[in-house]
Amino acid sequence: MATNTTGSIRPGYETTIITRSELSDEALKAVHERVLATVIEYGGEMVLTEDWGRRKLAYPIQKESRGHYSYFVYSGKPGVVHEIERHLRIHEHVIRFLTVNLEQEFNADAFRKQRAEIHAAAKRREEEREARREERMSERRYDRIEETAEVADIVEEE
Amino acid sequence: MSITNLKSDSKERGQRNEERGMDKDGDERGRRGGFHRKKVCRFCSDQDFIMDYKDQRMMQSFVTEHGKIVPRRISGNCAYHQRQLTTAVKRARNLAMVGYVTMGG
Repeated sequence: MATNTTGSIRPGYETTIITRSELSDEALKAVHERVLATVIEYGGEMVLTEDWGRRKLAYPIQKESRGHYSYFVYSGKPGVVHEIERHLRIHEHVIRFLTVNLEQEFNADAFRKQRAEIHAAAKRREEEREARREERMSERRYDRIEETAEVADIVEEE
Repeated sequence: MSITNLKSDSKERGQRNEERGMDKDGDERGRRGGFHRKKVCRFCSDQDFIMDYKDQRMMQSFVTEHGKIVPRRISGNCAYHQRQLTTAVKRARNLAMVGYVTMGG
């Protein structure tokens, strides 16, 4: 049953957790390891883990205005999600979590590839935005230089 | 009366028509409130633009400053993607990436 060869098709889940920002790296690692252990215990595979770092929350949760985001994608037998969420609920430094059931037909390799593409696209868009911003800034600077030149002209005339 | 004269004449008429277009009671204008640009769904037109509740920046472009989801008639999304968007925004709200609706204070 537990054949975790790459490319095997089984239901996949993704979980995002928010932990308190003051939580130490070791403690965070322990949380990650616990999730990983649970996934393995349920005959699943850890497809992807991402660390999004500390981010500002849109609204305070449990009086915290910042949080550390972690993101897991995994597969497993029914009950993995229940077990992982049970653990997260007990953990006092995990302030929020969300699990989403990905589509039934789930291919780990394809998913990884897709995720990488999304990241690449996001990066590209970010770069484009940066370029545009710089362009605008340089234009503005140019305008200002012209303005000051004009002012100088007027002053000179006077 | 040469060709140039005719040309200028037609140009003048064109200008007059434009002026009439600006008029409140002008028949030239098809719609109230000026011309209307056909909106297209950004998710349909751009394959790179993927619906994802994890993409904070994408979410923010479809949410007002109060945290309300921008209606379809404003954003121009198609019905299918608007439906996806609402679930995505609600997920993002749960993860404190997008705020819940706040009005007043």
